Amino acid sequence: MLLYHPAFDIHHCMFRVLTLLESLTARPFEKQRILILDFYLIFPYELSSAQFPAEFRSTRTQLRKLHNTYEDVSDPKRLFQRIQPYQESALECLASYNLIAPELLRDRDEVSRTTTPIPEELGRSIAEAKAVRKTEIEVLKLVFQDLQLTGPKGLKKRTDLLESRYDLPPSIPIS
Amino acid sequence: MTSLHPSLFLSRLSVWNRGKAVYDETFHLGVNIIRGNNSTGKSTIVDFIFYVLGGDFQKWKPEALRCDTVIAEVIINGVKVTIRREVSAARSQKMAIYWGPYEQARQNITIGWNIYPFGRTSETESFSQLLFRTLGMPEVRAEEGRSLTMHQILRLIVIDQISSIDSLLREEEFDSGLVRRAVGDLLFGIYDNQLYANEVELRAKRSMLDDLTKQIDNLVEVLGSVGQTRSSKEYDKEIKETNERLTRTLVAIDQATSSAQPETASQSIKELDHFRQVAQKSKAALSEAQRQIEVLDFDITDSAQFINSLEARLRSLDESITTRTVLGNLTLSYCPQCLSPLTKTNQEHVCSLCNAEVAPESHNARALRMKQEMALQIKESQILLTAKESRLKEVREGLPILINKARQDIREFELKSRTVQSVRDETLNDLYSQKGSLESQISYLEQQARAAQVLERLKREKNQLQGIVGTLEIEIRQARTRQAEKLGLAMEKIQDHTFYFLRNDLKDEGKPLEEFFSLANTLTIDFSKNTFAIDGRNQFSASSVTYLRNSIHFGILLASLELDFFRYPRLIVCDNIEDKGMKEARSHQFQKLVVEASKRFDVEHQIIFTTSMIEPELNNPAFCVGPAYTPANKTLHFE
Repeated sequence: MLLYHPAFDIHHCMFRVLTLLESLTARPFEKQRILILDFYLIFPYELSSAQFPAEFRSTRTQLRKLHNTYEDVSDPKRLFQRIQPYQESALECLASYNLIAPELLRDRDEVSRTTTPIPEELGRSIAEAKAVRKTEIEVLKLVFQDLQLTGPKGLKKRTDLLESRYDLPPSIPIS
Repeated sequence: MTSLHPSLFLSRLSVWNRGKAVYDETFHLGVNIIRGNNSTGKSTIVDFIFYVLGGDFQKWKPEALRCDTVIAEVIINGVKVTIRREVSAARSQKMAIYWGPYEQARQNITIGWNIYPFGRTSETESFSQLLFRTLGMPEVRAEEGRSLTMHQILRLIVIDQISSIDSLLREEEFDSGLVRRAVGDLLFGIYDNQLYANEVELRAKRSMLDDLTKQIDNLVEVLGSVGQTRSSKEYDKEIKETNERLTRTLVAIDQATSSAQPETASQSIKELDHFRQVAQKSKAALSEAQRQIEVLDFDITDSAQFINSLEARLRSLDESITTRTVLGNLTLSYCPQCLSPLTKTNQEHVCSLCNAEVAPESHNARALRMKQEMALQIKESQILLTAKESRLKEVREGLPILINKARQDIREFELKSRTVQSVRDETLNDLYSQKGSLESQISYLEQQARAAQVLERLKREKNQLQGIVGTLEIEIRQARTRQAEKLGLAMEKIQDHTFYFLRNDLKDEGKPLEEFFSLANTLTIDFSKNTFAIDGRNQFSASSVTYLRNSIHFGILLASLELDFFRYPRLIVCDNIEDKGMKEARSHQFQKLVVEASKRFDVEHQIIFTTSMIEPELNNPAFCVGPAYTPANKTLHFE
């Protein structure tokens, strides 16, 4: 049964990233944000463990129905570390196909969708996926897409997947 | 000449300084006068008398302190005793006593003398205790821890000049009204030892009675509130009756158990057993079905989740394949490693990046194989799931029937078990329950009986105490009446004799010096307050007050010669019969009255007084002791 898991599949990661970019607002995103949101596409129930901002607490209850014993994660942080190489490769691959801007990825660690069109067949698959994962995609879009990445109330701190202690405070520009 | 006891007379007094007597005079019964000018040491002699008889004295005049010893021969209840004391300014001096006359005592400086301390100790008596016993006076406790001493009674007997003239008793520093009253009671013969003891006991018994009454009241209230009002006898009777009933019941039980019929018993038991087993089986079947439902429920949920998981994986795999396939058809524009632009090559089956030959769809084939396996797994799981679901449905449908059957079988069993119970069993049950209730009743009654007994005992004790209290009260009343009678009598006599002096006070041209002395009728003496008054008045001129005071003291002495119950030892020592401002004639008159009164009584007594204005008629050895002292010839002769 454990022959295949989408977490360790580069191509599936590419698929997920494209799905994300097609669902969220069209703007450049920090690479770390994309990695985090991608993790939640693989394990949507883990989203209920994140610290929701006060105004969105009620949305968390919607995630309850996604629970499946066979998808439970015992150590999210460690798991995230293990899939990171695949995520990195997937992003580089997407950049190679110019589906995301390579210079932005290379120079600024940013993920930005280019104008390169997605082939039709893939587009259809993505649309289906969007329908199937409607619940989690909506939560990500509503709550976590625009949250500040760093800082004590930032996305990284709330999700507790990436090391956030040594980040520069949010007010200081990255470049 | 008769004698009344107790009596204490001075027959000889000597004062010594370094082995030499600086004063040595004898005294006689009746009136003794020490006369001389002022400041010739007359008072000093009185001080010595006070001291040698047992008084505590420190206010020695300088000449007195030059002396070292005082020796006196006294006659106590007719017996000659010699007393010696060291002259000292310190307090609480001891006393040495020789049981014999002066002359003998002087020859035996050490042998035959006993030394007694001022205050008693755990091993020795005080000299006061000794003298009291010798005089036949009872030991009197004035107040907590204080017994009367010689010193205290001498305060009434020896009148000084230092105390204020309106004090009844000689004044002293740490005085107490209670002590003074005790002195009065003792000397007037009113003190009743038994009465005192009875009063103490009455107080104690009254307090005990109070406590007991409270206990009884409480107990009665408590018992009454729980409806228990019978006597212990009644309870005992009821206990006995109940015990008899119990015995009869036990006998009946015995009879009932021994007359059992085994046949009918076993048959009904077998039948009952069958019904019980049937009910048991139905119950077991029911719980088994319920258990199966639980297990299946869980299984199904679990399987559903498993299948979901598989389906999700399958979907992902599909997505992955699509991505790979579609994107694979795209050419890489940038090098994946360094993201620098790539030049295009358009060869088929050749990797556009590394130019290696590539078999198309080879990796896809693996993915497709995985897909196939997964799909199979899903199918199998689904079949299993369906089977479980239908099984669950079956069991669920059969459940109501099982529930009903179980209920019915249990009901039948209960019904059967009730009818099997024979009449015999019922009577036996009744007997047993009767036995139980009788036993508990008996223990309840026993408790009540115990409480009633306690109450009865307390009531008995209370009655006893009341009897004692009653007796004590009667005795005390009688003793107090006797006391009051005595006191009345004493006061009457004292009053009489006092007024003898007052009415015969000097008259100046027919008019009494103090008019009130002729008008007044009653005398009051208050030991507690240390005062005296006639018709309630004691404010007069200094001389009149002195006169009144002396009249009272002599009145007491004279009363003691008439009343045998008086313990006043028929002795009076008065320093300065007059005060400095008194008219000479008045003092003379008083002296004459004293002598006259003394002559009237045929009872042994002794009067010693000092004066600086001797009545000429009395200025002779019959009355006077020692010479007429002058500044050149004082009482104490030092060489």
